[in-house]
Amino acid sequence: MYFKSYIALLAIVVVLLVPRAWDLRLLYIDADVRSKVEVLLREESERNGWVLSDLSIVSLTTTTARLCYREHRRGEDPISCFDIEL
Amino acid sequence: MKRISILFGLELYALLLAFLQSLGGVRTDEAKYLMDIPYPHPPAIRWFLSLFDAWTMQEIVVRVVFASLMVHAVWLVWDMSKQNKALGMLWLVSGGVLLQAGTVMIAPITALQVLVLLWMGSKKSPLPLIGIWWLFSLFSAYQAVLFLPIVLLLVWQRRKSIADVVLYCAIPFGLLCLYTVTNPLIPASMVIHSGRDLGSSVSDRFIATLRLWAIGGSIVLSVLGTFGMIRAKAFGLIGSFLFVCGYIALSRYDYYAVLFLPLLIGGVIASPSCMKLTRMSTVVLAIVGFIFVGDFTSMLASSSAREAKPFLSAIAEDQMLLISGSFGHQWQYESPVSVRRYREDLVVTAGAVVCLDSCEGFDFSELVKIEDSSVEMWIRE
Repeated sequence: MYFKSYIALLAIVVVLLVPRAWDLRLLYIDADVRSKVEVLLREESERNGWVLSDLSIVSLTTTTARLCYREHRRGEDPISCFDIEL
Repeated sequence: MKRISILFGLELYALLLAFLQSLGGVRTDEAKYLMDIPYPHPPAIRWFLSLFDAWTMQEIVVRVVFASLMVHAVWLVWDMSKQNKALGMLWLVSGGVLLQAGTVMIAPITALQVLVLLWMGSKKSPLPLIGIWWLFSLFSAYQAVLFLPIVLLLVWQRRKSIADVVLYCAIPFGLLCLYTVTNPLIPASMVIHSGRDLGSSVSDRFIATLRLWAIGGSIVLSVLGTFGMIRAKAFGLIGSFLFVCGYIALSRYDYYAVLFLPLLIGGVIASPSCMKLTRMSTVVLAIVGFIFVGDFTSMLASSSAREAKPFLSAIAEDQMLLISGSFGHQWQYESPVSVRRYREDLVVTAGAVVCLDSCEGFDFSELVKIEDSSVEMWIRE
């Protein structure tokens, strides 16, 4: 029973993480996209006064990045997501 | 009856440690865990804590729970050491427990997870259970990786099979790497932190590591435990000990002292001659431990965010708090409204501005300065 639970747990983690890793693959295989995203994150954070750790990259194409801003506070965290041209 | 009295006494001790830590208010790293701010650690524990972040009492409840877990871990020490009460006392009055139980940090939880791992090893727990616990530890904090040698040896001694080593050690580690890939700001934050203290010499790093090793086991346990693991040739403990030393030499954060603690306890248990010495050393260790507490009192000064909190509660809900200068996540924790970095064009929407750096030359004509605040603070009337 323990063995089955362990394998099920590993499978759940894989199922949760693989799609997200796939959405972000360009960040690791395309240096140009990576540097553009880095600049974009800094600019967005600077322009809005946002704390960088409140920002996350959800998905990427060669032309667009989908970012989410989650305002960490006590209670429910307001979240807004938006697409930005790279 | 005796057992109930011990339980009661331990809980009182845990409450005291939690209370002492609460005096300083929430620190930046603690705020990260309480509000599930995703950098740098994986989510297992911080996600759980954030489920309760709307509670007014969240901070003190978590402190009490964490302190209780650390203090009641002494039952595992007693169980592993065949009821050696003195060794349990060494755990309770060690610098690691005195300084870290009651903080909302993941380092003491990692130390506790390692102790549980050692206990599972001593009880010959089924490998899949050890695998589940190891996966949980890895997804609680990256520093759990430092204890890979212990897991590796537990699996190898039991099965001597490469397939099992891959299944129980390598795959959980691989999943942690996969998680890291899905959160690109984590490696970025690691690169930033790796640049910390680059100018420190080797001797500075050695002394800093030695200091934390001494604090972790309040010197006496540090010596006994290290001697014990070497004497018993406990290679899992020795491997992890070297990893922890290397990690601390590079990072040098005081709160990592507690990571030594389960290894030192394991070292004493592994060597029966060290176990005998524990009876004589408890009093000495208690004295040394409480001397370290003198160092700890400097941490009790209330944070500026906690002091500013009464003024922040006056800000209207649709306004924000702007902060000039570098600030920690404790401001996000204490503020009832949105917190942003100071920008001139955002002042019109601000209910308050806090100046951690100088605000000389800024135009705050619509704001009123709070005179009796410990930090420079401007509020919209």
